[in-house]
Amino acid sequence: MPRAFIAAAVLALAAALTGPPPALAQDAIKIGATAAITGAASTLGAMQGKLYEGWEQAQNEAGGIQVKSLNRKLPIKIIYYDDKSDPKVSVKFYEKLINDDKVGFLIGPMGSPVGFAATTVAERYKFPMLLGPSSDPKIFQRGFKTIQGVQDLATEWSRHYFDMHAKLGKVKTMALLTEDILFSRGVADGVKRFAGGAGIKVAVDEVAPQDTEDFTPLIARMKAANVQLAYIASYPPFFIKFAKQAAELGFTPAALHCPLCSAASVRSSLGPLAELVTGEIFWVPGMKLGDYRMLEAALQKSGVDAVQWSFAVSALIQLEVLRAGIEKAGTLDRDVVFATIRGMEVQTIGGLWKAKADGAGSITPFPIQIQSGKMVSIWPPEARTGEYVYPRTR
Amino acid sequence: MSRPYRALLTALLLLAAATPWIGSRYHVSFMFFLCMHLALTATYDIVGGYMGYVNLGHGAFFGLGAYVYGIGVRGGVHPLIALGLAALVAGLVARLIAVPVFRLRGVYFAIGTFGILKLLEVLAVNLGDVTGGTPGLSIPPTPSTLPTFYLMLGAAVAAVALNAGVAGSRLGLGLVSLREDEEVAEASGIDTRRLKANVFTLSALVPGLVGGIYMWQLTYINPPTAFGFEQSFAPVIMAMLGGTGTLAGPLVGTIFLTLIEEVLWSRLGYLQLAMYGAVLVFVGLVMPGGLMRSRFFSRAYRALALPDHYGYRAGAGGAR
Repeated sequence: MPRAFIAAAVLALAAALTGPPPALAQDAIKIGATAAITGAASTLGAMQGKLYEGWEQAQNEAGGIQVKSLNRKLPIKIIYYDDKSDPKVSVKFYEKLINDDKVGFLIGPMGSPVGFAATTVAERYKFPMLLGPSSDPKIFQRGFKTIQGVQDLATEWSRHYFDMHAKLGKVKTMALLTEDILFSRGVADGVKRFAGGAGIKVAVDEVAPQDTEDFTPLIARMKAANVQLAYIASYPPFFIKFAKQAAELGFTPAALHCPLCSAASVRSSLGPLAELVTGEIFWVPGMKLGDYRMLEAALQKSGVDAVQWSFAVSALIQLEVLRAGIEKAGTLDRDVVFATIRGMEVQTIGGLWKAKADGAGSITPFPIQIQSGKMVSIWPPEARTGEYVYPRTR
Repeated sequence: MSRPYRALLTALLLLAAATPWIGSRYHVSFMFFLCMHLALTATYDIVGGYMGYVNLGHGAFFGLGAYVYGIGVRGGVHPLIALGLAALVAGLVARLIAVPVFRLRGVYFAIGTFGILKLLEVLAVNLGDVTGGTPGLSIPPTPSTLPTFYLMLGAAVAAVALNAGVAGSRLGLGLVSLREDEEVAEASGIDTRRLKANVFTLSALVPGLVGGIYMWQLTYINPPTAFGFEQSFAPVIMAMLGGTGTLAGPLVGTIFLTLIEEVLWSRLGYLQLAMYGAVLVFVGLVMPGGLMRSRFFSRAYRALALPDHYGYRAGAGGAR
């Protein structure tokens, strides 16, 4: 029995070290990523993996990606793992993608905390990584040479929204309530700047902990200041609690904004209270930018509802940029592809992408408004699928 | 310790030490986190298993160590000195909080220690100038992960050795008697207050060190990662699954759960969480005392001729 015990322990360890066989086609472009299928960021990214599968299928049915040096199209294979929204799990799986799965290219994870850790793997291996939904400025301030952002910095999140208000000129005062998390703090920093540029006075500016339950004093301050716009820089759960209490206390600003109001939980939890709430999103059905047909095919194949999982859709912009880079470079040499990407412009489903000097990309989300339970893109004019309704309270 | 058991531990140690040379960088990464969990579980079991106090704040020392290391390195302190500081500060904080938390017992102690963990999280969020606040704290990455791998392996070995040392000593006997009946232990001449404080402090040193090594390796920490639920509950679950209050329990529990998690996570995609839960429920139902108290392991354990004071034959078994 002791021998069996020892053998079992050693075999179990050896099995883990050996790991699963790659089982991949040899003649394929292998792209690696981790996805927030579970954990804190899964409210936004749970369907990220399924979308990758759908995009892979749609792309391969279209023949794959043209590689000029090989004079043919190659199919793609996207290998992804659930990082549980946990930085250390992400690190482990990016090591696996590079060493065991031998991927040719890396795209980034969902969320800045995970992005912080995952990019250290890319930097250690000098392995280029296109970074999608991880846009905290500090990620790019570390001077890493191997990462290139796709989205613009979190501080640029609401640029289009305040451009719109600058043009409309209706809002003069606003309240800013920030959930104390990485993403929201970045967004709020930008909001203060944009509001000033649009001639809007920030009458109330508060930061509240993530687990805030009682918003009464904050709402009272907003009511007293008689603000026209309440901007709640937060994740959906925080906003839902705020919006319900605001309605109970009779606080009905002319505009109510939450950057991630596109999440399905906002509409399902708030019901009619979600009506005419504004937010931002990278793509809504009906927007005809970039290769939207490939996206529609990916959505159909994966069975993912773009409206319900709109934020996960943004992760596909990384793949669009990578595909364009490979096609233009005409090679699978990732350093050459990466250098090419940094010097090019790509029309994506989220608008025109180009590399910025600070390491981030140029993709910023478009303002949307929930109208009759549906999301309508309201600005800029080229991405608009409907008219902005103001004020919210008629 | 019997010869076969020593041989098994030596083989596992050699296999782990050879990972950078026989495995890929991913295997090194996997082994790094396995050692991290083992170090946390083995030290948790000193308080949770032998002493019978379920410490849900064990992860607090890990987080504290990570922050002390990060702040130290950013301040220009040499990484090795920063590691020493991480362990030292964790030990000092444990000594300080031992006084109030050991006024509590049973479930109140568990809740109290969990409160300490959450208190540190709130402090990490609010002392932004020092800790980086919500955005977290980052340090420059080092080119090689080999030093951190061997440091973590060393920490795991130290934790298992500490666990074994406590189990086989007069201290361990004192802890078991305290677990069985605190009043009787006190009546028998054991200074229970001092004993508990000393053991609590001892059990905090390694997690502090482990937190520092983790920060060295990952270069980034934020409050939820440092003081999150996983850091708090993972050592408890692993120890219980392996069998609390047994020498091999933390080792078996850690290896078992880490392997299961790894295989499910990398192979099962969207079904992994359901499978993970099913495995935990199955083990809980079939082996309520943990793997080490299952029939298979019991036989192996007897065959390996481990002495009674490792806890399992006594049947008392600590906090289950």
